[in-house]
Amino acid sequence: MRTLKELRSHSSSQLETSSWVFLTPLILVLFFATAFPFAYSTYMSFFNWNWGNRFSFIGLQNYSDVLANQEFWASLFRTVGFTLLAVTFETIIGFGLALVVDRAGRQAGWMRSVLIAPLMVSGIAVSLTWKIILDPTIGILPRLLGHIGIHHLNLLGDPKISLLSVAGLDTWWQTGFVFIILCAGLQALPRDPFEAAQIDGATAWKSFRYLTFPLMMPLILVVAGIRTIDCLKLFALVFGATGGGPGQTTESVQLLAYRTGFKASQMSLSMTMMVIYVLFTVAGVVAVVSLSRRRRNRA
Amino acid sequence: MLRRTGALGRAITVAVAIFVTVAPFYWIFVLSTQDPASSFGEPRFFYHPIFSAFKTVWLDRDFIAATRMSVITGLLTVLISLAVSIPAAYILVKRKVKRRSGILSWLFIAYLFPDFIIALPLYSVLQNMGLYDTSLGLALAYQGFMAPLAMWLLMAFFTAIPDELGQAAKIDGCSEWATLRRIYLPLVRPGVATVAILVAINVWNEVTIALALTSSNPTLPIVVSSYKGYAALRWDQLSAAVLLSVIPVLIFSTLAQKQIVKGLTEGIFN
Repeated sequence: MRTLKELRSHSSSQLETSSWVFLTPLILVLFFATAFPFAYSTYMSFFNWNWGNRFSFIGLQNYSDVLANQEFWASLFRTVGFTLLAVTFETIIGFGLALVVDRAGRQAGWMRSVLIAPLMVSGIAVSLTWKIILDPTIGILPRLLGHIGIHHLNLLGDPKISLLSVAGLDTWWQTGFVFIILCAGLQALPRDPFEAAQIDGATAWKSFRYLTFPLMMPLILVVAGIRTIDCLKLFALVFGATGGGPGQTTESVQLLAYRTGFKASQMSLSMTMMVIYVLFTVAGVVAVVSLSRRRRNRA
Repeated sequence: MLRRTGALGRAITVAVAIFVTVAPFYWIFVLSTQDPASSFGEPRFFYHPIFSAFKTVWLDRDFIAATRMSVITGLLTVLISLAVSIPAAYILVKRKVKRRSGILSWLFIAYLFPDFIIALPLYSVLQNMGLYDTSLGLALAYQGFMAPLAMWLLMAFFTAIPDELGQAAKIDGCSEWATLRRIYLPLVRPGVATVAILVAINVWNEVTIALALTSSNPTLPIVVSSYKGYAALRWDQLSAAVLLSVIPVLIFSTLAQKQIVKGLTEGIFN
């Protein structure tokens, strides 16, 4: 006869094995769609594969090529610049609208529905819609602006402002995301401190400055972080609206990788770009997360 | 007085935001129901609409095939991501699993990956497997982003259900599978619906991976963007194609709005 202890250890080891039964499908699928592609890209980055059946080992040649490539660095700074612009616009406008709609009472429901509508639309539909609206010959916006004396405004076609315009498109598209989450955050705020402040005679501005804003800050940072990660993947908007142009003024890292791999057939060079980009983003995110942890621990 | 100007300011802010949100949709509708030649004249806001462009796009064989492809890919992606995530999310929430934090950071890093780190290698892998240019191949590739999304949401929903229910079921002799199926699954059904809706919308709108991993069986956004080629002449058809790809998801998301909002917020608050 087995003792109770034996039974227990037996059943707990049974539990452990069955945990893996529950997890295996997820791990297999994740392996196929993330770990394996990353490993494969890293492996191929040491070869010179240009679509054919033959390729040979070339060591770190691809890495030195990419790191010496002006186009790569330009696309990297462009993507980061776009991200800073778009995330700033989206966070400020999204938070502002959330504050306003939060006080709309019964009207808030339908306002929220309308304001998150762009979020449901594909990047291709967004970019084509705005391409049509901003087109210098038939676009409605340049023609309406012409009536008030602003002529020849080519928001997507002028190399000086094209990247800013793409950030504007992203703002139209994704502000709803920041907005809807901050709306939920505002509704979840504790009521007591605000009532106490009101009793103490605090002005609306003061209760915003010393209560709403600091209480919302953690959530704002999380949402801005999510938007940052998404913006660094910029592809569909520029693919649809500008094709990376005029010149290369809106070519993001992913668009450059697409052009290098699929149009110029330099497959392993393109994979090398992506590997370097992944390392940069992961390093950046780890640095930000650990910095903020250290700051929180100190505080 | 101050309070009244504040209310007026808020009303104007909302009105401007709503106008900026809605106007592009309306203008695309105007262009899609006008003779393209008149697009070059003065803009007209009131006119007799013609729907021939919609008919042309809707009867376009490529457009129909792409719609079918998008629907099938969406269904497959939803099924796979639910099938792998429901058991995994359940076990990670309800039991102490050894490499829990390792799995969670894997999910997070997967979310950081730019699309082409997945799409470039899978291009040749799927070709070797005979899955290139198929909805199953796409649905598998999408799991790199959709499985993490499904996991975060489902874990949040499972956390919200008290552990006592499962413990009681196990004392009554239910196996782990039976506990999941009979006790938790019915309770977490709204969460499952939320995940299915968000994944479906994401797949319907996805561009980057579909562009890389299909050629003769493209999904809807790819076909819509190919209308750009004739744009110089046929603005009405380009606009109609954009609208036809957008209308189903707008209707769907309006109907399912509660779940969507819940899904977007739930994953972040936890």
